[in-house]
Formats: sequence, structure tokens, C-alpha cells
Amino acid sequence: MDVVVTGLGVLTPFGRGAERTFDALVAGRTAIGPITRFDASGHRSRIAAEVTDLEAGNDLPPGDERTFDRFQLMAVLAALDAARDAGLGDGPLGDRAAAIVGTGIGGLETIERNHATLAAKGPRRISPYFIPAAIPNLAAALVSMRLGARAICVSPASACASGAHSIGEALWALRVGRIDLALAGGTEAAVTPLGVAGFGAMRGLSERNDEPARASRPFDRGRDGFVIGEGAGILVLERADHAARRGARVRAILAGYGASADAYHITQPDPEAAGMARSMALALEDAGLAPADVGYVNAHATSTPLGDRLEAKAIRDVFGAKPPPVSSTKSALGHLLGAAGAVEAAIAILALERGMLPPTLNQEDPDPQIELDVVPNEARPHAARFAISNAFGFGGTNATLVFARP
Amino acid sequence: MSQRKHGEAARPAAGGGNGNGLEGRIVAVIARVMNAQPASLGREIRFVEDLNADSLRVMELVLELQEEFSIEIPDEALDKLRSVGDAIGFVQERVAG
Repeated sequence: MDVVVTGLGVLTPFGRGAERTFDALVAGRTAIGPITRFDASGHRSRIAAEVTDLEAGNDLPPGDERTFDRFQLMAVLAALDAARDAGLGDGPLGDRAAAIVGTGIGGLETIERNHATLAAKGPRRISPYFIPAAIPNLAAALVSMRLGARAICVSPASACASGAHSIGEALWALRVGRIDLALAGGTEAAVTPLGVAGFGAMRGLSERNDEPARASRPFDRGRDGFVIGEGAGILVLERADHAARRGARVRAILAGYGASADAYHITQPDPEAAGMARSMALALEDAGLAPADVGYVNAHATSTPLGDRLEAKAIRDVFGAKPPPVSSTKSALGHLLGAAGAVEAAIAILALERGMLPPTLNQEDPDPQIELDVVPNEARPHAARFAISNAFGFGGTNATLVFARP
Repeated sequence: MSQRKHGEAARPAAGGGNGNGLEGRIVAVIARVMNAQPASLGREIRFVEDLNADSLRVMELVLELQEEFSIEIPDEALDKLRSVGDAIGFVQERVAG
């Protein structure tokens, strides 16, 4: 039984709507600029891809913007957009519809704010909404409530692979028939003082503060770390028979899912890139494809010196001497952490649908260790039948999704 | 979040309330926490029954009243804070004293 994608919900620094983000990527625009949400002057990295206006309108009940964390609100808006795109309106979606929405961190801004209150005013001044706004699974829970999705409701956590794993785990639940429909994806809002300081302490972030638009340069020799971003991506996944019964438009087939662990290090990828390669190989096997069938790879590549080189190696190990075109849209969007895998899944689907590959920006000085066609700097018309999307997370956790044009 | 109706209650204007002075300030806090128009908050309006507040929302109101007026509201008093009038009376008593 095929599992199909019938709705896309994407909220990124480019705005609300999958097409809006895809059009911006194809146009070569960047979402990266100086941090405005807080005073970042003491930070190593002072740039980010921020969602500057949630533009909730009447989609969120009044007061929720004040009550809940941004990662939760963005998930609800993306889920609503996905459901509407799928022709499902605002629900209710019923007992066999799941909400599987992962996040890497959860309500970091909420935690920081309440900790400041605790330190300044003591324990009796903590908001009763602190815990609900902080805990990761409230993203999935609020999605389930807003859309009346009453089957399994969980938030898988696998750092920057959370969104991809959520979609993959939903695929398995759909295939075995435990559910008919899933709102699956990821969300993240960690552009906060503590988040930026923490990734900065690891020397994970780009410090090209004076040139925000040129800071995220996956695969380029001048790359010096990722640029933190925020957003949410949700797909509506359905069993094909369920989608056919209600006459839904099929935007793509979710043809395969691979997942693996490096079992190597808390933050560094395995230097042989075996886990990444196995994730891709398992996904292709799951989809019943040969490497040569794949026409586009949306890479995880975050613009870190080591990670990009190892992903390139893994792609060569799987696809051989002539891999398909590979682009990293993080060059424009920054790294959306737990949302990245889901947003990039939607981008891969739109690349198939439009026959257009979004570019990897900022390719100025090719790295001789990266032997890939990275679709440098400009979008490229390219008809592909199958695309894969990679997402790798701290802890050495890997996920690959395979999408097919219907 | 599904319990509340969407888009009906507008955000109160800053400093809004039923008249000026202490009562107006109390009503402004209630309006902000409950997402209600200050003008709609007559003394007889009950938080749970009329405004659809859940227990967390009532607790948030207590917290905000404590903050705004620098008073302590003991947990034992929670049961008595059921309406706009209750809140006005309770705060007035403590601020005046």
C-alpha cells in the first residue's frame, strides 16, 4: 500500500506557505540576517534566519500567542496549512488521524524566560503555563487539538533529524494500517540567547557576522559553521486508498524511509560516514530503487567543515562516481534544526513537482574534497522522478526520505 | 485551545478598563489574561462559567494580580475568586489595607 503526500504546510523565515518558501529559494533569495529577537552583541554568532511575524490572524485562538511557545504556535500554523492544502479544512480529522510532530529542543525561550523569573522573583512567580509551553510534545498535542486528530500523538526527538524521523515513523504506522492519515513533521524555535550561546560554545555556528547573506555556504571551501534558523514543516500523509476515496490531490508518493545510528560520538559524525550512507541505502532499498533512479538529493549539509565533507563522501559511497545533483537549501534558509528535515522534505517534493532544483548559494570557492554537482548559485530546471532528503542529528542519528512524483 | 472560540475576543486596549483608578486597573488585568474586552467584564461575570477559563487560566490571573498590585493571594483564597466582582473586592481590600 502506497503512502502519499496530499498536503504541505511550511512556515519559514520566508513566510507562510510551501510555495512561498520554494519560490524564494528558486529566486536565490536569503532568509539570513542579523539577529533581531534579542541583543546578540555578546555572542560569537550574531546572525540567524528568524521568523519575524507569525501572522496568525484568526488561525490561533486569542491569547495563545502569549501562552504557548513559538515552536508550538508555528507547528499549529503549518499543520493548518497542510490540512487545508490537502482539502481537509480545519478538521476534525478523527480517530485514525495521527499528529507526529518532532522538535529538537522544545520551548527554550519559555524555559529561559521562566528561569529569569525564578532567579529574580522566586518560585511562586512561575507561570502555570510554563510547563505546557516548554514540553516538546505540546507541539503535536496542540496540532491534534486544533485539527481534531485523535490517533497517536507524539513528538519524536532526534535533534536536527526530528522532522524527518517523524515523517518516516508516520510512514511505518500508515503502511501497517494502524492509522489512515498523519500530520507529520517538525518544528523549532531556538533562536534564543541560550540556544545561540550553546551552539556558539560548540563552535558550531558561522561567525561571518558582517556578511549574513554569505554566511551559510554548504560545500564551499569558505564554510565555517551553520546559521541557526527557526520554522515548522508538516506534511499530510495518507494511505493511498484513503486519499483516493476522498478524491484528494496526490502531490507525491512517500516511497521510502531509511534510518540509522552512527553509534560513534555525541556530536561528531562517524569519520567513515557509514551511518549516513546506510541511512540512504536503506531508504533506497525500502523504496525498491537503484541509486541511478534518484534524480535529486536535498542534502542535510549545514555548512560545517566536517559534516558537509562526510555527507558528500556518503553520497559518493552510495551513488558512485556519477551522483545526481545535490543541493543544500540551508544556504538560503539557515538550519531549522528539528524542523529542517520536514521543511526540506517539502522542498524536495516541490522540486519534483516543478521540475526545478533549488540552488546551493554562496558557491565561490569549490572544495576539492566535495566531488558533487551542488547546483551552485542558481536554480536549475531538471525533471526528476525520485528525490531523497537527508537529515542527520546530534547523537549520530540519521534519516533519509524518498519521494516520488505521482 | 480548541475550547475557546476563534477570533471573537479582541485584545484589550492598553490601560483599558471600566473607568479609571484601581478598579479599572484590576479589570484591565482580567481582560488581558482572559482575552476579553474590558467593557464586557461586569462584576457578575464568572471566570469559569462565563469566560470558559480553565484552572491554569485562573491561576495565571492570580499570578498577574499579585504581580500588578504587589499583593499576596494565598491558595486558600482561590475558591473565593470566581468572578470579576470577587477579584475587584479581593484586591481592593488588600491594596487599601
